[in-house]
Amino acid sequence: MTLAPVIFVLLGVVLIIVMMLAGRWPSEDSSPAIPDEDPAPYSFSRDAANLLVHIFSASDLQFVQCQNDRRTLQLFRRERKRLALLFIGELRARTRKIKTLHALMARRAANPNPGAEVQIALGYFFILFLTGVLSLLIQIFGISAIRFLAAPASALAARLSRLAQVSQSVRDVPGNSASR
Amino acid sequence: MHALIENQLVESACRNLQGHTLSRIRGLFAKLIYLASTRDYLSGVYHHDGLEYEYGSEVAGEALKRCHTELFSNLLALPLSELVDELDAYLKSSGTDFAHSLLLWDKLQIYRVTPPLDCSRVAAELFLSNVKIALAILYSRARNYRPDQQFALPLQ
Repeated sequence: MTLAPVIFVLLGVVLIIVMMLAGRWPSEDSSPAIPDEDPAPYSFSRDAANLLVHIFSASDLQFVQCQNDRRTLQLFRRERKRLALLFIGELRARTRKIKTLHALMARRAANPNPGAEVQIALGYFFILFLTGVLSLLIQIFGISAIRFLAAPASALAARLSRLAQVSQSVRDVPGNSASR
Repeated sequence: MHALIENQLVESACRNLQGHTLSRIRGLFAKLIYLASTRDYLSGVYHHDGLEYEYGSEVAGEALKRCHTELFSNLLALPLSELVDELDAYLKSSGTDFAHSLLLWDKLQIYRVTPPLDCSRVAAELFLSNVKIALAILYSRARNYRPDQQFALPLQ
C-alpha cells in the first residue's frame, strides 16, 4: 500500500529521463559543421505551418505506398522521421533561444513584469515537455505516429510564437532592452 | 522613398528575368538549377550579365535572389507526386541517358546547392529529402520498366 506512491514517483522520474533523452537523440546525419549562432527565434512559426503540412502529409505517404517499392517506402519513412525530429529539435532550439534572450533581459530590466515572467517560464517548460513527448512518440512509433502529430506540433509552433510575442512585449518596455 | 524606388526596380528586374531568361527554360526544376547556378559559391552573391547591365549589380543580385527564393518556395509547396514529375521531366530534358543522369544525381547530390540562403534549415532539409525520395521513385520505376538494365549504383 505504501509502495504505490514511491512506484508512481519512480515512474514519473523514469518518464522525465526518457523524455530528456528523446529530446537529445541524434536526429539526423546531415547537421551543419558550423552551428547556427542565430536561429532567428521570432520568424520560425511563420513558415512552420507550411512545413508541417508537408512533413506530416498523408497524401505523400499514399503516393509512395502506391509505388509498390519496399526500399522507397523505407527511405520515405526514414526521411520523414528524421525531418519530424529535426523540426522538433528546431522548435526546442528556438524555445531555448527565447529563454536565454529573455533571461538576459530580465536580469537587467528596469521595469520587471512578474506576470509575464511566470507566463514565459510556464510556456518554456510546457514546450520543452511536449517536444520531449513528441520526440519520444516519433522515436518509438515512427511514421505511424507522425500522421497524428501534425496538429500538436502545429499548436506548439503557435505557442512558441505567442511566447516570443510575450517576451518581445516585455523587452519593448522602455528601459528593458538587453542591449543596454 | 529610396527603399520604395529600389523595390520597384527589383520588381522590374524580376519581371525582366522571368520574361526573358526564365521563360525560355522549361520546367521548375531547370529554372531552379539555373537560378542556383547564378549564385557565387564563395560570396553567395548572384550574377547575371544582362540584368546587371540594365539595372546594376545590386538590383540584379536582389532580383535573382528574390526569384530564386520564390521558385524554391513553389517547388517546396508541390506534393511529392508533382515533384517527381518535375524531376523526371528535368532529367529527361537534357537528352543524355536517363539512367546515367539519375545515378549521377544520386551520386553527386547536385541538388544540395539549390536551396536559397535565406530559407530555414527545416525547409532546405525537407526539399533535399523530397528530391532524394523522388530520385528513389524514378529509379524504381526505371528498374521496373527495363528489368534487363542493371543500374550500377543502388540508391540509398
